[in-house]
Amino acid sequence: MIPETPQRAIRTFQETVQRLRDQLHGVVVGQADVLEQILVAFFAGGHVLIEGVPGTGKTLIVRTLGEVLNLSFNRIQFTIDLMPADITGTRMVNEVGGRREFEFVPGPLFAHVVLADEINRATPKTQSALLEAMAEMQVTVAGTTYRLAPPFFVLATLNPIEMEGTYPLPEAQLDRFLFKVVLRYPSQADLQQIIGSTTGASQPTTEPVFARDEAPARIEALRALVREVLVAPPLEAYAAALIRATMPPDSKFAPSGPAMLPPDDHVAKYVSFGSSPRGGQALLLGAKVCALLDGRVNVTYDDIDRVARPALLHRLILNFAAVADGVEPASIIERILHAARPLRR
Amino acid sequence: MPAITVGVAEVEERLRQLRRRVNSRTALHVGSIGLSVVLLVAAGLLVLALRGSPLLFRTAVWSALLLVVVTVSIGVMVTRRRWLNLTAAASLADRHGNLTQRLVTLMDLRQRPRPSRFGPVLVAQILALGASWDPRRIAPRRVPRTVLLPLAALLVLATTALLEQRAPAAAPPAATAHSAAGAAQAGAQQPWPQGTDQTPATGQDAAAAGQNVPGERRTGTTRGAAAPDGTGTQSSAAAARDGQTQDPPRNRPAPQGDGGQETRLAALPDRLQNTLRQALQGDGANDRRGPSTRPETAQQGDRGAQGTASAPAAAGRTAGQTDPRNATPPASDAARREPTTSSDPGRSKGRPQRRDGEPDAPQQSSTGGTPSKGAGRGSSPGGLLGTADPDALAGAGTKPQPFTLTITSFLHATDAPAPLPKRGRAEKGPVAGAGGTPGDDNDPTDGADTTLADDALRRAAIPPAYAGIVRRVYLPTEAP
Repeated sequence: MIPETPQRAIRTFQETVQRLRDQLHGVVVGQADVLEQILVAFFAGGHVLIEGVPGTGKTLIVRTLGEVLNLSFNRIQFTIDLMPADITGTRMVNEVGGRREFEFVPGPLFAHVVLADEINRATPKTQSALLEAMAEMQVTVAGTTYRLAPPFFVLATLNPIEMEGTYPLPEAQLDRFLFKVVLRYPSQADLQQIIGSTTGASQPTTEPVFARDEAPARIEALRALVREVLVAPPLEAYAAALIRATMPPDSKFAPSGPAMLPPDDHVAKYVSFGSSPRGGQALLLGAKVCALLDGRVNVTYDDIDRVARPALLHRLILNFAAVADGVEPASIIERILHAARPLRR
Repeated sequence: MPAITVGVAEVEERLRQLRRRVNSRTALHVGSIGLSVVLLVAAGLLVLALRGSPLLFRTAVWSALLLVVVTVSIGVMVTRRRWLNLTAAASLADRHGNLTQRLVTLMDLRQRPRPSRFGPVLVAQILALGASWDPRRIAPRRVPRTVLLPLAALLVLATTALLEQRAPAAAPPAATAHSAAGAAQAGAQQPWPQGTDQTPATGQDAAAAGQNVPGERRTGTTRGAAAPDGTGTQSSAAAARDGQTQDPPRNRPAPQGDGGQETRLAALPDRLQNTLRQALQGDGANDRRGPSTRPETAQQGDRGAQGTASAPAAAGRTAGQTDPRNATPPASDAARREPTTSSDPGRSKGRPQRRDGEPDAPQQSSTGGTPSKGAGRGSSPGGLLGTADPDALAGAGTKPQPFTLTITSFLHATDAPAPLPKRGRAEKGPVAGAGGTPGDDNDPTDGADTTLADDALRRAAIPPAYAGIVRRVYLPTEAP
């Protein structure tokens, strides 16, 4: 388990993450920043929404992560006819000893690592079933609540193209994801390595970092270690200021009182809804993981900035003007971070 | 959290050390700037006090006060903004030592009731990076450059000692007859200012100067001082009369000091004493009023106190007590100079003027170094009494006695080379000595009229019945 001394625990954390990186990079070519963000979200206890065009390795990344963590892994291909019971499980009549009784058969959600592939193709009803599992780590079937075994980690993928026949995720469900990671096309060198390594006779293999029986406990211990990282009040204020700055000033949901940052023009013009408080939680939790990965026990401003983009990217709901002007949420986040630099005292 | 108590104490001590250094530097910086401003303001005020006008100095004083208040306020605000507490010192050390907010976190952790497992790790990391946030490196005890500002300001202030004080705007006002007489004596002891624009080189002034010489003439001190209203008009008119009358020289020493004059006053009858005191007080009031009512004269410095037309009485008094050797230069200056720019009509009304603008005969006499015969001394009450003996004066005051008033103006007219102005000639020309300008409205025939009108009086012996009339004529300040 976790060593007694904090220094040893921090070192173990760093070593564990480094081994995970190495294993992942053995299978996934390139996408280093995406892998880093996924690992951060995993140890922060959140879920990740991966957006990328087909064939960029979304499923490969999630499957490899489950393998190296040596955790149970399930993949759910979301389709339009997927029902909630298909993912949560259902009660089936089973005859035991001449008696018929209902028996709960767990769905694919009952795993440590769940890949919800093309989540936007399922109906909102099914998406809501996943939403409960992600937020509460439990599912309710026929009035009975079943707890999900920790660690529970959901990676959902979104296909930005082929939007016909899809159901965009509602904001409430988007907010459940800690990070949103965007997969880009690999570079020339990465692409060359990908096609070379995946078309040969030998396929890259992975070795689990943890033993299967102790993996969940060790991962939970590492997650608990993350939450012990210290955050000074000025940094909490900085994170809160960032979240507050995403809120358009003329919104009816805008909070009252003065803000630490002046309102940004792009936010007022292009943002319909800003980040929820969950965005602030995502900032600090991700920053804590980053601090531990750097061997520190305290969060810095750079840690917050480092996770600001994946933590806020899916929490900024842009309006039609932004779509018309081609404004991306990432550019607005960059503007907010730039405006918040004077707060880094 | 006893495990990190020692470490936290060490970190806190270093932060306190850093805080002391930064705060002392801030205080030195702000104090230096404030002190520099105060010193520069003081230097500026000194310069204005020495060279500037009272109005400018008054304005500068208030401006300086405002500037000092603003400076102090800004200094307080800057000091409060830059003043570091322990948390701010931790933030400063974080920035300069690249501690990545470790110290700020520790300061917050120190106040948390529940200890953290990472507390000792944090302290250990901070101490391990101790070299990077050494207070001596972050805030070296260097004296800020702003301390040079007070030195420079002090140098500026010291240079004001090299400035010469500009002469006072006016003679100190005399509140009483004693102070007036004292001021007159003080004026008599001062050398005549050189380069005066307006000199009391009139016949009366020159005569007064000559009368002050023992053994030559009776003093004419009270002539100018006895101006009833303190203006130059009457005294100038009286000076004109005196300039055209000549008395035989009487040896009478000039009073020296207030005590001598007071003794002489005490020897006079009460009525005459009151008259003299009123006259002297009126003259003193004129002196006091002069600088304020004539600012252009006051700005001329002490020159205007004696040479301008604004204070002819004072000029006469001062010149009357001045040794003729000292009184000569102004007279000669006046003879050499252009006519003064003063347009005081009372100054020139009673003085005859020559057509060519040269000073009249009495002034020329004084220019020659000897008192003018025509300067006269009839304005002196003592002289009017016909004797310098105080006892005789006292007796004359109690009972009317006949006395002989010798009019010397006629003789003066024959002695003086300048001809008397003719009646009916409206000559325009510069007033001799002071107070007149070419082309002003002064009537140069007034002096001639007076001279001609006084001929009969000069030749007549004053019977006792007319003694009072003559006294009133020659004592304009006597109460009716």
